[in-house]
Amino acid sequence: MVAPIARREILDILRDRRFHLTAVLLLSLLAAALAAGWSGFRQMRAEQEAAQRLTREQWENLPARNPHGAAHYGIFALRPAAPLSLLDPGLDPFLGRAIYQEAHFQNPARYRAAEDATALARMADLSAAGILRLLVPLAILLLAHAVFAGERERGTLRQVLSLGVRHRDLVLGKALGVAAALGAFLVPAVLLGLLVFRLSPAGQEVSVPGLALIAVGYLAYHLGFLGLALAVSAVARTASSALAILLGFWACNGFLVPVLASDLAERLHPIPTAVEFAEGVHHDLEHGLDGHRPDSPFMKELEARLLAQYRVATREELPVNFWGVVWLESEKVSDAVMDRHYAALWERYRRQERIERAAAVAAPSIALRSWSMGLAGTGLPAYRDFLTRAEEYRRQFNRRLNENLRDNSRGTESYMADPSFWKTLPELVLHPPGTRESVAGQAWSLGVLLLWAVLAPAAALFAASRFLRV
Amino acid sequence: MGSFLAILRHEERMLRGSAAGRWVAGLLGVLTVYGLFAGVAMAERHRRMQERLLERQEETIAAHLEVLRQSAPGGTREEVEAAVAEARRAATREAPAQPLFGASSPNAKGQVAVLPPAPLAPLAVGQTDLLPSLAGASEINRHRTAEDRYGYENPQRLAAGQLDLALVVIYLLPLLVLALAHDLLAAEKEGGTLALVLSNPVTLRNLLVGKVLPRALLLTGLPVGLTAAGLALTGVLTAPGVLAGLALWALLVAAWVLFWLAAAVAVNALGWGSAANATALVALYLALVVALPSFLHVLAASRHPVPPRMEAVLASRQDPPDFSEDTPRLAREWYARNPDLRTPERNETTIREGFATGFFLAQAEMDRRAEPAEARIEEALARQQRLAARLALLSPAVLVRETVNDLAGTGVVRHQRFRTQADRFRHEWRRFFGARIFQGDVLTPADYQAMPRFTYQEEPQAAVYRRVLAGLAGLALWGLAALTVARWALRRYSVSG
Repeated sequence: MVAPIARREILDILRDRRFHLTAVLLLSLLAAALAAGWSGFRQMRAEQEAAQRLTREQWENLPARNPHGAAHYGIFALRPAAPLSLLDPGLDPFLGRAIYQEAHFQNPARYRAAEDATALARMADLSAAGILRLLVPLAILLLAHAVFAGERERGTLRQVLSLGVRHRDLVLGKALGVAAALGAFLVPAVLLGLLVFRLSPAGQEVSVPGLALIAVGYLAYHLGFLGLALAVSAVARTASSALAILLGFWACNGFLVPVLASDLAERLHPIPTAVEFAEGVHHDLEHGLDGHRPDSPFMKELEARLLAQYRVATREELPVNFWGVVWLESEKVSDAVMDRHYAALWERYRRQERIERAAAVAAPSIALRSWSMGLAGTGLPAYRDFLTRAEEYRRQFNRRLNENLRDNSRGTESYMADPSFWKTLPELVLHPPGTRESVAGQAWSLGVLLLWAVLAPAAALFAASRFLRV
Repeated sequence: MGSFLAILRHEERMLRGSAAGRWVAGLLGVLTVYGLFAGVAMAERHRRMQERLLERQEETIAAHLEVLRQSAPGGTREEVEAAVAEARRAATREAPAQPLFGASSPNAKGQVAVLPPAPLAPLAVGQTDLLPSLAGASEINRHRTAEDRYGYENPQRLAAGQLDLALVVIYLLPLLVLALAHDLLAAEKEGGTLALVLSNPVTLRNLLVGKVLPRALLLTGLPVGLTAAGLALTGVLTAPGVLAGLALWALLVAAWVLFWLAAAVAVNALGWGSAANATALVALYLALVVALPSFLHVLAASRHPVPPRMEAVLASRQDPPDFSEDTPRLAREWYARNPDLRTPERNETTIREGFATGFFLAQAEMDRRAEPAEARIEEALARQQRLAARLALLSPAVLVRETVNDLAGTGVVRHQRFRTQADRFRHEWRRFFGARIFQGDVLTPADYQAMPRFTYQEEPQAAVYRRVLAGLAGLALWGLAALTVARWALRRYSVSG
């Protein structure tokens, strides 16, 4: 019985002019969003690569100078553009694009694109991911809300049930009908888009399993919405009340709950202000070794240790550069301080995320966003990965410079490194995270989506058996 | 008239008694209070952070002045120079502060310029969660000075936005209007009572007005009333310009609600069922509030793309000046740019060469090299903002957003103004200290008195109101358009068919 029911449903939908309008609108919006996303990605990649080349060039062309001075001149780490940002730009406008890597400080990534944009830019969230997350479910609700409730109102439900159709077949048939109608235009469009993307050089960087996994997430999400729409349609007395309930859920799921969850997370685990963070770091640094402060007790202790180690009486007699040793030690101290403070900051982010994960049970769009951004490489995990690798590089960078100073002069001699030395420091090469790294840590969001994809249709089957009666 | 009042009373009673009416009122009330509280909390967070920073700055200056008072009670230049020399000999830290690290304290390198929250900031968080409300001025080049002004807000929170009053008004209020108005006529028609009602001496127009008015009053009066009460409780209402601003905001909310009510009437007048009405109105909502702003942004951004900030940062670092070799040339150029600071006794030929002078000149030179790129960025951003403001006429949601941000003082316009003033302050700061560092001066108590301080100069209210009124006018045009469509459709409306 499933096939004829499905066929009937598909025909009914395809004959409706409003469906044609919806299909055309959705496709146009998707195409426009993907085009805009692609253009945005190419622009970011070009800008980041140009900046990467220039900062390296500036570094390699430094004249002879004291390595510590060069460490203060520093270099920049540029965040790589993720190809799948064309689908889901995620947090990209709010993530820093570059980190200033210098001695003593672990700087945050700065120059967020959203800072150099208008308020209008923040209202413009219509990426392909946004369309798939907000508009396609809406289309599903609009197509499916009257499937049972409408038939009940018109009186035709009684006729269908009196034919002895099983509830399960009815639900499956209707679901298949709606899914097929929507899939008829969405699936070819998405496949075409993916094919075109994969043929491009940037598309080659993304693995096919990665693309498949993103698709699985969205499919599960849409399946859940279909199940919910059918469940509500089965229970509601009229199509209007079914639509009202479903629209209410859609608005809460898409807008209200995510923003409330984020608010709650911030209230329970507030992030320190810029000033509080800086004060905290500075306070700890003050009580550590600061090579720029000659009278600190740590400095005196280090000097005494060195003099004893090399059995000399004054720092001028040391066989290594005194300041090279001081900077090496002071970097260890400042690294430990920054580690502590950044770890505390990320711990707050993690606690905030736990609250949002809990809210995902009520609003699966939260799980979908996380899954989609995670696999596109435009979420917090990819960002943290960038920050971690950049910091590893900065520490190695400073260590090499300070060792060069320590080993190539003695005592407190003034020393300038030869310009050829700058080129010997390796370049930082960064790539967006691969599929395996992206999936790791996202198990919870896939779990929520799969649960949603199973429970909502199950609810539809249950509601049909309980409420669809002659 | 009597029948109109009867309809009005009846509709008001129906609305008050209906489940939908109660739900919407409850939800709107709760969301308004929540949103207002979020705005107040945000403004308070900024204010506290700024006060703390300014307090510490003053403490540092006071500490410096105390050292001066103790080591050079007369406060003359000669006394201070003697105290500095003495401290150097004794290698202690309690020396009077030198101009290079002038009034800089360990935490606040230099002076800080703050953008205080405007009195009506609770109306909209706007861009204040993203754009820093502090700007530093110090001897170090701009890109390093800003490091501790930078916020660590969770990017996910920035992307999600905050549930502030502006979000409630722009995104949620229309949905609540649609919930109460999508079946204005359709419900009665489907229920079979419309023909009956209109068989009485009551026109369709009066009936509609009778239905729309209580909804308009509820959906406007509730948020406006609660907001006014909330602001009165926080003591903000007495600040200058606040009442006028609040009145304009109330007009904005009323215009926004009336636009959606007019749209609902227009859709109802097409004669469809309530489910179809709801669908059409949700589609209109998505088009105007979600899709159109995206499209307009793409237009504005592609017409005036903003060059990446890294261009300016990297420009400042190109061929870095050498502290010692380039000092004489940089000093000449500096005095050429600041001829009023040149005197026969104090000029580029009398500079005290050394680390302080070399370092200061090199940092100033780095900022100077970034200036052309910075100017290009600010100019492009200003143009994009101006175009976005003009394009806002095409989207009522964007009109509301821009106007609310203007009233609250939390938008890009006020921040750009702040950045310009902060730049000027930085420039004054550099001139003040440069002139002293280069000539090997010491800082006397008189210098601390004369040090440039920053106070943000608000835009004249008239200019803000002009923009706000333009926004209101644009929104009124949209309302008029919706009403025109409604009237045309109503003329063809069939009560029974």
